[in-house]
Formats: sequence, structure tokens, C-alpha cells
Amino acid sequence: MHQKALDMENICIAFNGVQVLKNINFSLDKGEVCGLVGKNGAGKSTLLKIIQGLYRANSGEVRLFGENVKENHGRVFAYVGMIFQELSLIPEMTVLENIFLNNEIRKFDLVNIREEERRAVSFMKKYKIDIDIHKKIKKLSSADKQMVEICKAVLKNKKILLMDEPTAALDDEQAAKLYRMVKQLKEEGITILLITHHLQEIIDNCDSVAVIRDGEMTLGGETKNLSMEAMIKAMLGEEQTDLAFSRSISDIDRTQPVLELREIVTDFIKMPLSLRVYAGEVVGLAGLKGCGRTEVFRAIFGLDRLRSGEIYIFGKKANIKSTTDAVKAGVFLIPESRRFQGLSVDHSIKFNIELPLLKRLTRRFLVDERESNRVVDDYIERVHIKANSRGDKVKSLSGGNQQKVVISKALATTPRILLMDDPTYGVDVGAKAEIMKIIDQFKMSGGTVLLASSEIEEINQNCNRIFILKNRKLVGELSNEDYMTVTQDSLAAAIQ
Amino acid sequence: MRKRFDIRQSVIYIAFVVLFLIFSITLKDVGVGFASVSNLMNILRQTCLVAIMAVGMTFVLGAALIDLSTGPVVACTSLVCGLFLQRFGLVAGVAAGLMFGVLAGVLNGFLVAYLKMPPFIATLGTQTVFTGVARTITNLQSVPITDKTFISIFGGGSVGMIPSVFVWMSVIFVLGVLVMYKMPFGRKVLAVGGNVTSAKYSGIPIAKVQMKVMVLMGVLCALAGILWAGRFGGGRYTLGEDSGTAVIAAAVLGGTSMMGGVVSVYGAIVGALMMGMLDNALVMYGLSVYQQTIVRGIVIILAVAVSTVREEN
Repeated sequence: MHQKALDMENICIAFNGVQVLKNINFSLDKGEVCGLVGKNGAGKSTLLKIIQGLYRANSGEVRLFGENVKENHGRVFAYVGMIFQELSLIPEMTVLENIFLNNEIRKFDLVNIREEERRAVSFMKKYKIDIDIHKKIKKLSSADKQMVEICKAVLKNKKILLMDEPTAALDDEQAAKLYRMVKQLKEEGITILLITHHLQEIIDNCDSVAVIRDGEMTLGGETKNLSMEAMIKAMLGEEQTDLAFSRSISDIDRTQPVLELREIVTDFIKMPLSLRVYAGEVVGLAGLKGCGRTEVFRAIFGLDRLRSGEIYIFGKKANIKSTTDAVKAGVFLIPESRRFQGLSVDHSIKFNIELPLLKRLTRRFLVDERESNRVVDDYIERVHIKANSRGDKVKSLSGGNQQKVVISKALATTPRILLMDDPTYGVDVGAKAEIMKIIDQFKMSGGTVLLASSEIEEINQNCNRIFILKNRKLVGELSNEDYMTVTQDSLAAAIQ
Repeated sequence: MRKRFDIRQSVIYIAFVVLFLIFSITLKDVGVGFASVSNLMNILRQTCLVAIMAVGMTFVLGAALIDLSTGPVVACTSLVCGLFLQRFGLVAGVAAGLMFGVLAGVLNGFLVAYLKMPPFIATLGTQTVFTGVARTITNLQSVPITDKTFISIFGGGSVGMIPSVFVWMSVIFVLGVLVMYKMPFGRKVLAVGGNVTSAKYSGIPIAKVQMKVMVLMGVLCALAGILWAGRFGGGRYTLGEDSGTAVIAAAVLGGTSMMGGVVSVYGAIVGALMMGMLDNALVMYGLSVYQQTIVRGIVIILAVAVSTVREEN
């Protein structure tokens, strides 16, 4: 009989009485590349954790290369390697040290560096990876870090690689590089299961696809027989209508800019940068990773000191020296990383949302709990945060819901200017459309948005005007007034 | 959702009751007896000062900081208070003592919040400095305080049956609970301790919060120092000098995390009572001062171990 690399039969698992996976039947052939899709919270991560042996299913059977994991616990899981989304490499160590970390090649109990070098170099040559093995990890690009992660796993003799959104932090070219490597690994007989929110990537690069919705496998099969529409339908079910988001167009009064940057220079933006944004506008900042969009936001939000130049808000010169000043001036930033910058994940939803509002919520030195609860509950409902209560710890929420908490936190401060740095990073299609709707509402109520995103599509769909950034310089502006006058190709060409 | 009974969160309260029962039974016939009113009052009097400081330490640990300099600040304050009291009277003595606490807090806060030094190292340094200061001010001499009003308000006196130190502790405890759980400042402290970057991105002035926390700790040390002087009847360089570890232990025993962001003001009081009870029982068991420190050290290690297990889960 043909032996499967992975075979899961009737897997069920529940946490605290909540059924997370129901009767999952799933298998992977040797050398198969499979894309796993589903909304945030559908159960993808749980499935991955069962395959890694971190969770044990309540019922059902898992076989790795024909061996039942229950009987061979520990040993068989050694075949499975996880490529982490939040990378597990040590930044201060070199590529080589990381690759062989805890797996050092020894000679008389000393690390045999020469042998390690030889193996690493020949491996890299085989897969056409061009990375200096003596460089420190912190000096590598995100794409190269991913590659090193993969090298580490494969050199440890892993036969099944699990990748959690490997391309989320990569631009198109880097993603292509990654998929070339995936293809080569496949030819070596390595089985790969990857999670991604980019369905096109799955169609282009995977042999098969598995779709999970609310803990059930709703679609599975070879990609060549499936359309993107079928996948979206399997993923979202009835909610599909939400996906069609259309931008409302507001009349923009250009007499007075809400936000004006006049020749600002910081330690990171060396060339003076100027731009104007008006009320009711969503303006895009487009560019490749490292183009300077985060740096522009940092300057406006008071995170980086202005070396020269001025910021005007409603025509008045704003003296923003700290984030505290920025929030006071009606500016709020939705930062790139929700886990590290946006949220205190060990605290509750309520704690996080009320944090920037404390001043407003204080009556006679004490926090007005009733008012605070009202505000928080209002946002949980408006933004559709899926949680048991406002007291839930943020870390217990799925990625998309965490992002909604970040957005609620920002909106609750009733900002006039909202800076959004990649607000839909790692968020599924459904939540993405919801987030875009929230931005749209904010705009229609007279708010101003500066939106940065690594996804051209997202910028193009949402923005009235688009600023092009390259090497931390403003190199152009595209007008998108009449809805999609800017084509994706022209935008893609502009940012290159 | 109903909160499940968490054995790890409640371990301090259970341990407290269990130890109390064990001591009450085994030390029934030693001296006046462990559970006698006079002995319990004695424990309470001894504990109040550490408890006051432990409330401050809850804020410090909550903000993911630490203060190792608390003990010597107590000693210095007792001397400064005594010196000013001798020369300029009661009000000046108390004011000078508190002022010293503020200055010590400002120094610690400046190093930690504005020079961004790791709090462990910074306060280890100031601890050494203050230890030296305490020995230098009067050249190892004690400063006797004879002012009757001072002694009855701070330390020695009582309101009816209740010792005045207990009144002081209760006030600080209530204020601590209010500030930590009901006022915006408490949330800011926890935000800074929980995730300093997210706090910054929420518009919270990090350095200011850290500075305020260190000053608060300094002031509470000073209050403890003044009370110590009241109980002892004067200032001395050894007063409260080695209370620093007991204070941290009390806070951690009570459920406050050393990693920041998770605190219990109630727990700090219980933790302090437990440390006091233990000290008292060890004396009654006839252990020498040096043997006591061994046991106290073991208790601190156990406390941190329990708290580490708590965080792992």
C-alpha cells in the first residue's frame, strides 16, 4: 500500500468544552505541498499543533509515515519541523550558529565548526541560497531569515515542514524565492503544509488545498480542479456577501489640510518630506518593505524626533514630542505589530481599549467603570470582536480579533487622523473586509486616514490618493479619484 | 464566565492558614503562646512596616521594575528624621524624613526612567550608596528621639486597642488599593509593566510613570523609616536595613509577578504578615538570628518558585 506522510482520521479536539476541531480527515502524500486556509480562529493553528505533537486530539488517529503517534510518542514527531511565523532564530548569533543550535556537530566534545560550515555551504549551494553563513541573523532580511529557518529544519532531517504564513512579511519577489525553495524541497520528497491568506499563492504553488471553517474541513483536493471562488466559499460559508466591499466616495474640501507635513526630517528620513491630507480622505502610502512608510508614521506619531521641518494639524503648528502629545493632538497609530506594539496581550480586552482613554474616563480621580464598560462593549459589538466577555485576555483571541481590538482602541480615542501601518497583516479575508468597512465609516464621518500596506490591492481599493515611497523618499503621487483610475499594474510598477 | 478556583493563585492564603494553625498548636506552650493576643499584636506591629513597603513594591514590580535600595533608605530616613526632630521639632523631622524618601526615589527614578539603566543594577548601586550614607551621617551613632507626641503618633502609641502602626498600614493599604485598581495611575503602571511598547503607543508617558513609581516607593520607605524610629525611640543605621528582601518576598508571595503587569495589593499585605509570622515563630522555636536568615532565604526561594510556576501556566 502507498504510504502517506501524514494521515489524520476523525480528529476531534475541544478546549474548555468548546469544540475546536470536528472529525477532521486529512492526509498528505510524501512530497506533497498543501495549502491550509481558513479564517482566523477556524482551527488552523490547532491542527498544526496536533501534527507537531503539542496537543493531543481527544479522539481520532494520527499516523506519521504509517506509524501511529499514540504508540510512538515523541519519536515520530521528530520528523515534523515547524517554521515559525514569529521567527525562532536568535538575532545576535550567526546564521551557522543558528542552523546548528542544539544540534551541533561535535568532535571530542567540541563544536566541529569546519564540518558545520561544510554541510551548511553545500546545502545552501544545492538550494541556490545566497546567504553569508557568518552574518548575524539580525542583519538579514525577513526573507533570508525564513530561508535560514527552513535550512535549520531540513538539516535536522525533518520530513514534514509546517509553515505558518511564511510569506506574510515578504514582498512578491521574496515570496517567489521562497516558493522556488519549496518546490525544490518537494522534489527531495519533503512534505510541506503551509498556511497563508493569499489564495493566489496556493493556486500557483501548491498541489492541494485544505479549507477549514469553524473546525470542520469544508474543502479539500487538488488545486488544479479548484477555483478561487470555491475556496472563498468554503472558507467563509454564508458570510460571503461581506467580502464585496465597496468604497464610498466623499466630497473632499481642499481648502484646509487636516494634516500637513512640511519638509520633515528625522534620523531615518534624510530627505525633507512634505505632504498634505484632507478631511474625509484615505490616503495610501505605497512602497516596498523598508520604503519608509513606518518611518513617516513614527515621525507624525512622536516616536522619532523631528530634526527639522514642521507638522501642521488643522492649519496649526503641532508640537509633537512624544506619543502623549500626538494622542492629545488627535492622532492615533495602528502599529505594524499588534503583539509587540499594539496590545498588552496578558491583559484583558477592556484594559487595552481603555488605556489611551484613561483621562477621558476619569471622574474625581477614579476610573468611571460604568462608562468604561459601556465604551468597551460598544466597540466589541460595533467591530464584531468575537470573545466571551470584555474581561477576556487578549492573547486568548485569534489574530483577526486581536487586530480588531487594536482598531477599537484607536477609534475609541476619537482621533481626527488615523495612521494605519499594515492593518490587515495576518488577517483573513472576512476580517479584512470588515476592517476596510470600518476605515470607510471613519472616513465618511470626516476622519482622515493614512494607510500603509504591503498589499497593492488593499491600497488601491481604499485610497483616494496614493503617495509612492522609495528609499525613504516621497517619489510620486497617484490620484485615484474616479475609483480605480490607478491600475494594480501601474501601482506595482511605480513602487519598484 | 465564572472564574475557576485557581490553586496557584490561592496558595499564599492556604499556606497562611496552614502555617498559622501549625504554629498555634506547636507553639502553644512557648512563652505566652503563639496564638495569644499579645503575641499576635506583636507580630502585627512588626509586620506593619514591611507591609507598607510591600504595597509600594507592588507598584514597582507591577511596572516591571525592581528596587533593591529600600532597606538602607529606611535606615537613612530614621536618622534624618531624628536629627531634624532634635533641632527643629516634630513637623520638621517628619517633613525632612519624607523629603529624604522623595529624593531617594527621584534618584532611583532618574537612573531607571531617564538614563534607562536596568533597575536591578541601578538600585543595587544606590543601595550601596545609601548603606554608606546611613553609616556616615552620624558616624554610627544612634539619634535618640524623646518627643512624646512623635512616639505616640508614629510607632509606639495606639488608638484604643489598635497600635498606631496598624492604623498607618491600613491607610496605606486602602490608598494602595484605590490607586492600583480604581485610579488611572494603576492601569498605567500595569500597562508599562505588561508591555512597555504598547503602553508607549497608547500615548502613556513611560518615563513619567516609572519616575512616579520609584518616588512612591521612596516615600513609603521614608514613612516606614519614620515609623521605625517611632517604635525604636530614635534613628539608627541598622533600622530596617535588611528589610529589603522581605519586602520583595512579601509582594511576590502575595501573587505579584516579577515580570511586571500582574499584581495583588491584598496579597502583599498577606505576604508581609506571613513573613512576620514566620520570623516570630522561628524565634519562639529557639532558632538563632543566623538560623532564621537561612529559613527566610528558603521561604523566599519557594515564593519565587511558586510564582514562576504560576507564570509558566
